[in-house]
Amino acid sequence: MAYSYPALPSKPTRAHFQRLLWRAGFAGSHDQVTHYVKLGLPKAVTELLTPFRKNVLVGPVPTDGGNRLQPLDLWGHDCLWWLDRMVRSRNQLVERMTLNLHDLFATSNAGVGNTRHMLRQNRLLRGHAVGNFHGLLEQITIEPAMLLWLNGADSNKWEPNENYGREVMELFCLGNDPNLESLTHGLWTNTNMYTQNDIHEAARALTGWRYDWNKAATGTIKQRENPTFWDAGYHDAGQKTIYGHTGNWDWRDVCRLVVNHPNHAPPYLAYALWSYFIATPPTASAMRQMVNNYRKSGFELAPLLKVILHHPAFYLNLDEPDMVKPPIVFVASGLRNTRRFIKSNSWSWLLDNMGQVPFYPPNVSGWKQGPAFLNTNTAHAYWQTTGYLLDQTIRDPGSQTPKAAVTAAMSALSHPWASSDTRTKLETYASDYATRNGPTLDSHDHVERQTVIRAMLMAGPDGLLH
Amino acid sequence: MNHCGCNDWQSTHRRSMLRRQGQVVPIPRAVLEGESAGMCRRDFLRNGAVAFLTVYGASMLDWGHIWEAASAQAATPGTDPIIVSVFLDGGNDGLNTLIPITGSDYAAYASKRPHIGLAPANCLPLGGAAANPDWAWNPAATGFQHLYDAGKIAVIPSVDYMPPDLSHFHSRAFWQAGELDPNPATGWLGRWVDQNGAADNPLQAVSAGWSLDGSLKSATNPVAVLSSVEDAQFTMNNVWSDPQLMVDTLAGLSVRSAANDAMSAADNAVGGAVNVASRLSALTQPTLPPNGLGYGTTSFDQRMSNLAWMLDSNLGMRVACVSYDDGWDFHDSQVSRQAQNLSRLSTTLAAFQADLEQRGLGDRVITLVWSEFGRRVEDNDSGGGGTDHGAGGLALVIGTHAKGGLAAEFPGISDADLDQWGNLKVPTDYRQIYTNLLGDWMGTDPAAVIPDASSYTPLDLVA
Repeated sequence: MAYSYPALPSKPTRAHFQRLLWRAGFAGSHDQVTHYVKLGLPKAVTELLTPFRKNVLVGPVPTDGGNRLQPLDLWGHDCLWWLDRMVRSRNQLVERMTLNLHDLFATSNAGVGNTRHMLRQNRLLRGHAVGNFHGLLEQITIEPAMLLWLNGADSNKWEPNENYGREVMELFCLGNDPNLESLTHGLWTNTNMYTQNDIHEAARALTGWRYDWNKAATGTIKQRENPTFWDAGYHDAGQKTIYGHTGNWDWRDVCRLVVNHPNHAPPYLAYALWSYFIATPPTASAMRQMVNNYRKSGFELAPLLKVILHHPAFYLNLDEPDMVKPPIVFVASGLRNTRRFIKSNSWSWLLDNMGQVPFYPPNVSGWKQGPAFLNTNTAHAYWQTTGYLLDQTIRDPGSQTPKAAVTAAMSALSHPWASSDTRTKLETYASDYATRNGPTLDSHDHVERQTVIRAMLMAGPDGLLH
Repeated sequence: MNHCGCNDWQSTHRRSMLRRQGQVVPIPRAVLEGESAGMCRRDFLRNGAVAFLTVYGASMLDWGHIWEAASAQAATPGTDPIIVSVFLDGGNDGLNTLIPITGSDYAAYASKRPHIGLAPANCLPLGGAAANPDWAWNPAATGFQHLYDAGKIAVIPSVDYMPPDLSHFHSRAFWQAGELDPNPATGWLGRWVDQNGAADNPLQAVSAGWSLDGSLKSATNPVAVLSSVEDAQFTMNNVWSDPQLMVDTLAGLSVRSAANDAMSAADNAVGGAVNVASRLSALTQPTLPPNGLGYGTTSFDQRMSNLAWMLDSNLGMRVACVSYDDGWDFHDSQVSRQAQNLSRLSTTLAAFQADLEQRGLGDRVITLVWSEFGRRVEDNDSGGGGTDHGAGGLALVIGTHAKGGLAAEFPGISDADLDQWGNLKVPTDYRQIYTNLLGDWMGTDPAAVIPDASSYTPLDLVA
C-alpha cells in the first residue's frame, strides 16, 4: 500500500532530535537523545512508530517508601504506575499517544469508581496507541470503564441512555465545532453534521451491554476485571436510521458508521491528533496526506502519525518553542532529564496542584490543552514540583565562573531549551550572587547558586515550553 | 457505587484558564491599607477574600493605574444596580426543582417519571402574595420556599433557545455569549461592560472562582477573576542565603517580548505568580468569619459570602459571575444528588439575599440563577432513576426587586405538548431575560449588547 509523507529535514541538528523526543515522547537524557541521533531522523521516526515488544521498561522498578506500588489499593499509586511507564519505557511515542488518547476518550475514575477498570482501559489505549483506531473504538465502546462512565451499562432497549451516543460523536470521533470547516480546509463540513436523531438512534443501537455488579465485587480476578456481558434481551434489535443508513444496527454498526462518517476519518481525528504535536493548524496537503494514509490503511494510526512526525511544521522554530508542556509531560520529562525514577508518592499530589492528574480528566472533553494549562496558580505548582525534582540531586560543584555555572546546570538537565536571553540573565544572576554573597563563596553558596540556576531552567518561563 | 453520568460538570473550570491570559494583580494596596471608605485591611483579612486578581483585557493599563481607579471607586458609596449570575453547571432538571402538582400536567409528570417523580404531599408549597396551588418546590429547596414566600423570586419555567442543541458545551456557550455562537469572542455581560463600564477598573466585573466566566469576556474594558490564595510564595530547598535574588531573577526572566502565544502565556503566568507572591508576602492567611446568616461551609458558600462583602465594599462592581459546579448532570441517581444540590444552593442563596439586605444592598442587586438546559421529561432507570439532556430549563431571578411569582409561560408536559424528542417546548428565549435585565434593571440599551435584541421581547421580571 502506497502512503505518502512529507520529506524530513535533510540536515537535522541535535535540536531536531530533541524536538522529536519532546513532543513524540517525554524528552530524554543526553544518552537517550544520542541514541536517536545515531539512528538518523528517518530511522528514529520509524523506531518510535514501531514499538519494542521485549525489555520495554528500562531502569529500576518504581517504589513508594521502599515498597512496591499497589495501584489498585493505595491512593496515588495508579498515577505513579503510569508515570513510571512514561519515564522508563523505550516506546516513548506509544506512551505519549496513550496520554493523548486518554485525553481524547477522557474517562475519569471520579465517575467510574473502579481503578481496575481504569488500568484495563489504559492497557487498551496503549495497545492501540499507534495501532488501529477502528479496533480501539470497538473495544472502548464496550469496556467496563466507559460503560460506567457514560451510562452504557444503564442503557437498555426500554430506556436508551444517550450519553455515550452523544459523546462518541461530539467529542471522540466527529466533532461539532463549525470552525473545523476552515481549520481542516473544508474537509470537515457543517453540512455533514450529525443530528439529535442520529444520537438517539445510535443510543438504541448501543443497547444490550450490561454490567454484573456482583461479579465486579466478588468474582474471580478475570470477572472483576471485566464484569460486562451481552444480553440480547436488553438490546433494541429494531430498525434504526443513522446518518441516513437504515438497518437493524447494533454497537458494532455504530462504530463502523462513525468511523466511516465523512467528518471522522479526514478531518476530526486527523486535526485532533495533529493538535497534540504541533501548535499551528495543519496545511491542506498535510490534511490530505493524513486522510489518505488513514483511509487506505483501514484506520491505522501509524501512517497518519508519520505525516505529523515528518512534517516541516513539527520542526519549526526550534529556538522558539511554541507549545506548553502539559503537567504530566513536565513531571515525566523532569524525571528523565534528571535521570531519576519513581521512589515516592509526591508526584501524585503535585500533579493535582499543577492541574492534571492522570485517570482524572476534569470532564468528558479532557484537559484544556496548551496555554490553558498555565495561570498564576499552576505556575507556582510547576515551581513547587521543580523543588521535588531537584531535591538532593545537587552536590557542591566547587568554584565556577558564572558562565561555567550555567553550562554545568544545562548539562546536568540534559540540555533543556533556554533562550540566549535567559542564559544571559542566569549568568548575571550567578555573577550578582557572587558579588552580594562574596568575597569568597563557600560550599553552601555553590550549591545554592547551582540549585537556583537549575530551578530557573526548569520552572522559569522557558522550562514550561517544548 | 459511584458512577454519575457524563461528568461534564466536574470542576470544569477549576484550574483551567481561558486561552486569553490575564494580567495578574493583587487587590489594590491602598484598599488593603484601609485608606478607602467602607473597608479596611482587617476586613479583607477576616473575610477570606484576600486573594489575587487575574485581570483580563487591561493590557494597556499599568497596575498602579488600576489601583488608583479601584480606590477612587471605593471612595464613593455606590448606587448603581448590579447583576449577579449564578450558573448551575451540568443542566439542572427544572421539573424536579419546581414540580407541577395539579391537573393534567401532574398526571403526565407522574406517569412519565416513575423512577424519580416526587409526591406532591412532600413538596413545599408556593405561598405568600404570589401563592400558586399548581406548583411546589422540591422538598430539599427550603431556601427557595423562603425566598418565594417573601415575594423575591420570579420563575421562568421553560427557557432555552430554538432549536435546542442539548450539548453541554454549546448550550453553555450560547447562554454566556447571548447569541448562538459556540465560539464567541465576547460574553453578554462582557459586552455590557464594554458599552457601559469603565476603562480602568477590572473590579467592575468579577468571576468569583478559578477562571473567567464566558459571560464576562470583554473586548475592550477590563474584567477580573478573583480566587483565594493558599501559599503563593516562591521558595526552594537549599536556597536561604539570597532568596530575594532568586525571586527577582525569576521575575526578570518573564520580562521580554514573547515570540508566540505559548511563550506569552508562560511569561504571564510566571511573572504574575511572582508578583502576586511578593505583594501578598506581608499578609497573613485569611479565614472565613462566623456568621449568623445561614451560609454553609462549601466553596460556593465562601464565594457567595465573599461576593456580598465585596459588593458592600464600593469597588465599583456591577456584574459578577459564580458557578455552582458540583454535578447538575443527572443521568443517574438523580433524586438524592439533586436534593443535596438544591438544599445547599437554595440555603446559600437565601443567606446571600439576607446578607445583601443586612448590608443595605437589597435595592441594588438582582441574582439570575440559570443552567445550560433542562432535562428530558421522561426519566430513565439508571442508578435508580435519572434523566437525559433535554430542553426548556428553569431560571430564577431573585432579589428584593424581583417580581415574585411565575413570570413566563409553561408549555405543559402532556404528550401533545412536548416536542418530537419528548422535551419541553421552548416558549421563552433566554435572551428575553437578558433584554429585561439590561434594559429595565440596569437602565441601559439592550440593543447595544444583544444581537437582534428587538426580536426578544423583554420578560417582566423586576419591579
